Amino acid sequence: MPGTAKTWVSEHLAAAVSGDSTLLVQGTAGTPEEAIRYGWNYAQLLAHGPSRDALVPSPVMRAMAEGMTARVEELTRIPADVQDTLITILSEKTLPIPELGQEVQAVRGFNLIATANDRDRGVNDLSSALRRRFNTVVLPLPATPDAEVDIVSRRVDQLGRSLDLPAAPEGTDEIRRVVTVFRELRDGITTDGRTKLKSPSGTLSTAEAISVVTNGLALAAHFGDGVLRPDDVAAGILGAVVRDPAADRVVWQEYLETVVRERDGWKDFYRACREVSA
Amino acid sequence: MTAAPDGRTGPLILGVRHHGPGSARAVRAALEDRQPACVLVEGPPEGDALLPLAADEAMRPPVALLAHAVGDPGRAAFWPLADFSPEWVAIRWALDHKAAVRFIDLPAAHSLALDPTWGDGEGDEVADQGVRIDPIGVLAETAGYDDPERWWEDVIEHRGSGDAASPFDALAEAMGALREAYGHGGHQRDLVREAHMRIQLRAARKEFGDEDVAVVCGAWHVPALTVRTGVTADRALLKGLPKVKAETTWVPWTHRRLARHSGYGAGIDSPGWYGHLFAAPDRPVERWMTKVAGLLRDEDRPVSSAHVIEAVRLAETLATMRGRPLAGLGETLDAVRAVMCDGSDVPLDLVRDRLIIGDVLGEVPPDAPAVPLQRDLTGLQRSLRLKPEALEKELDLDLRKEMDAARSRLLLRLRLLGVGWGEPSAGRGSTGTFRESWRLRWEPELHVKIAEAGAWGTTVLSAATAKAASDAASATALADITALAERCLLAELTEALPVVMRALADLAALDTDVGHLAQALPALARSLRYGDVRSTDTAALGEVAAGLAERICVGLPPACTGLDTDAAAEMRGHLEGVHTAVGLLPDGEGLAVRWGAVLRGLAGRDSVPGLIRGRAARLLLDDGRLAEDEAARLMGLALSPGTPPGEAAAWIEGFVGGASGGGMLLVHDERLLGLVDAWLTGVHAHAFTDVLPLLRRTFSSYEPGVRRTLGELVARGPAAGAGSAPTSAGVPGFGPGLDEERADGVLPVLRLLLDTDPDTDPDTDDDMDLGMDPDMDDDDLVGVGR
Repeated sequence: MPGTAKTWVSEHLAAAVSGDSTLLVQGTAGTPEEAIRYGWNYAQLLAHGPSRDALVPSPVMRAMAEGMTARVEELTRIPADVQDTLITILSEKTLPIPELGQEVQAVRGFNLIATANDRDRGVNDLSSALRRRFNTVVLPLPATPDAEVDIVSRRVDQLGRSLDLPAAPEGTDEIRRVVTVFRELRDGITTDGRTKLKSPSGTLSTAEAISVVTNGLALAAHFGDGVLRPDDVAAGILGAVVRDPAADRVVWQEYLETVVRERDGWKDFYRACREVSA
Repeated sequence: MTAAPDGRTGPLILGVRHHGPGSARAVRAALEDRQPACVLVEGPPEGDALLPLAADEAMRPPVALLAHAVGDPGRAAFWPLADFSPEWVAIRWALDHKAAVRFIDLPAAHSLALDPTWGDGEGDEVADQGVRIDPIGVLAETAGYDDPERWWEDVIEHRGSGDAASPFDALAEAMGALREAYGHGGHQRDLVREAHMRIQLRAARKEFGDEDVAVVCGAWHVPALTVRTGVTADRALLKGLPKVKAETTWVPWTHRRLARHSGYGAGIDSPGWYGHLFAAPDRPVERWMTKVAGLLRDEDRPVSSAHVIEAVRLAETLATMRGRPLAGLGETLDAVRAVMCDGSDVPLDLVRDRLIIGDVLGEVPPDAPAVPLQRDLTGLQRSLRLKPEALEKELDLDLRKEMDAARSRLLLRLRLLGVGWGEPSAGRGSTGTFRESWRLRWEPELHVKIAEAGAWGTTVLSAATAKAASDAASATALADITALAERCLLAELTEALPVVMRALADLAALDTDVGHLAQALPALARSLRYGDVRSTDTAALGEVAAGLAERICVGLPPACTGLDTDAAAEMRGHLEGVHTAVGLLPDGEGLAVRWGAVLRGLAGRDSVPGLIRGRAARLLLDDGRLAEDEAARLMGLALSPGTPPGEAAAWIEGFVGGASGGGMLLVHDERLLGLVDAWLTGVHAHAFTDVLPLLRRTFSSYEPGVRRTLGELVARGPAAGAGSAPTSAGVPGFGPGLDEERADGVLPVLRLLLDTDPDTDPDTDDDMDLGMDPDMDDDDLVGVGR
């Protein structure tokens, strides 16, 4: 799922396990096979013919040879035929170099951490053969509202400083409200556990909550009185929730009418949301 | 320790955890080792007579020993036993080896009298606001574990099958230390129970000799059984206990009801996993993973042998990393999630539900004594004077009479339990809500059904309540659960109703098809009305219905766009149903306003089919929420030349179609009629054949009188319409204008019909027909009344 600090975790894991997090393949739609296996230094190749010296090893190859942890970012964005090169590496733990009649054997300690989004559509889904060679861990969203509020306010603070936004006094209530709305819609149940809700198609990750609040702060600083108010976040929330104009709008309206309207102290928020939703 | 099992210096005392497979295995080994002539088991002595049934071919655990007070089946206690319960193992061992076996706990006669709470057979492991201590929890905490279950797994369940007796020694010692520190630890009744156990133990030792007696009881009681106390002190404790007459029987049980979350005090989190650990001869993790793979394959998930190998490896690696002796449930679950389920919790929930808890259902031999449910039913049959007869018989009930209402409730509850004694049949000649007709027929297999239903509860009421709650939890379609709610209300299962309502609200929240919601709402509104007739509390129902209506208000407008003719006709039906239901809901004022807004939105939106637009406008007009000018404007828009004729005809059908008084509306409002007339004459010739069937359908459903009047009005032509007074002149046989004096003459009759005169009794249906001229059809009533 986007916005749950996958890359951060994989980076820290690699650094903790093998002391180095730089053996990294950045996955894109244009990632070639050479980025995962090896490339050639053509000047060397032409001058001296094929040899290990003319070989340009990939991060994966280096990790195999040295017994380190390699990382592949955004695995599902890599074209399927390029992904397939990983299959032999992961099951046989060797990387053949047929041009030289050699192979690179993985040394004890070689590991591969790959990250991918499971909510993205239209990318290269993993083949079951490759999927089987990975142990899958789905990174959870923050377990408690307090933890999430904490994460959001800390990141908003950092971002606000780098964007030179004026420091916002007392925005915590509004941040808590944004986090509550996100959590409730994401989990499909209200925080008191009494009412079930439909979930919209968006992911509503913590990262999105951070961007909604940062955006609200910018609005409050430049167009409002500097205090984060419901009007500043309402439009941002609407944009994050309603991704599919037909289905998500119904979800959002139901949420407004059945949950927000009756909640104590949420009158302003309800009004602000009604205004932008209409 | 005076009772060291190896040293053969006294009776073999085996302290166990109820439903622990490791304990069960150790008990079997210890019994094999000692070969006692007598086995004493924690349980009510009233069950002694039933013990031989445990060896019966037809007996399959999980079963429960059930004790209930005679004449008060609601007061009952269960002692559930599974394959892997040490007590069950001990009983079966004794029966297989021709050893004597007895229950030694406090007799149910006393415990039922002491503790009227239902269903807690163990009594000792129920957390009571933290006053009672949880012995295993304390030991786990002392050992540095935060999860008692895990500690128990590591220390007891996952031990190799080495020395049979050593866990009992260690556990008894640990419990001894705990008892020294905590005394009875808040379990006050234990002192009495243990006194009784000591007396029984003493008697057995006298009879069989010190070394030939084995005791299987909760580990917590071991120190109390080895302590030396005087007989007189024990007898004094037992003196003067209250007593009821108790009966016992075996009932089938399920793994699901062994699970802790089912509310059973000594329950365990993972009956299926424990059952597997007990049944697996060796390599439990490998066998477990194979089982999981089998389940996932049955559910069409691609799981290969390589997955199983990887999962086992990962589980073992995790166990090593976490410093546990063997991969436990936690490790295997993590491994299954990462390897077989692609990190997703959805298939994992399936594993949890089907394997870790499991669907195992026990069986009891047919010659076990009758379940208390049967006795309760017999009592009810006697008091309600309803004899079970094989001959089919009709029964008419008048629900206003207490006796008949009780009969109806009994039959409805039995139907909920799957005991089809009575079938509701169409009432004879009466449609009053207070009358019911039943067709009764008692068939012999109904006895079996009742025995099966015995697992749900001990009385018809409690069993039906439990069954309804369970049905509600497993229902997946909104229509099922509204029907269930209706049945609960009729059967007056007030305790099941909150559960059903909760499930209903949850399903309604997640259902994305407004059609389903719209179908459910009228049923709920009807239930509210039934509730009124039977004076049950329907506040919760009203709340849920209001929530449902709210969701419909939000979801209906988008659902009304882009419909074809058939879908539009269906949606029109929903619209009418919801409209009626909204009017019936309590506290409907705010709701009615919002519903009005929805209708207004529908009436004015071009992307909505004409049929629905017309209907919405009409409903608004009838409610007085739409001024007549406004209605005319809407009609003018819908019938303007730019609209395709088919669409316009559909609008007309929606607005004035059906037998709901549309014709009278046209008769009385000449402006509307004029609009229709003008439109119709303006329809192009080649389009006319297209709209003709629609129009014919609209107008042919009118009463002949209305049709004739309309025809006359149209024939008279629009010239007369200039004077806006209706029936101004020209209708043959009528004078011009109104004769007020003669019109007043009908007022007394009108008052009789419309007002509730105290002299008439609206409840008796015979009166309803009085004074109603058969020619006076619905249309006329509506037209006059509004």
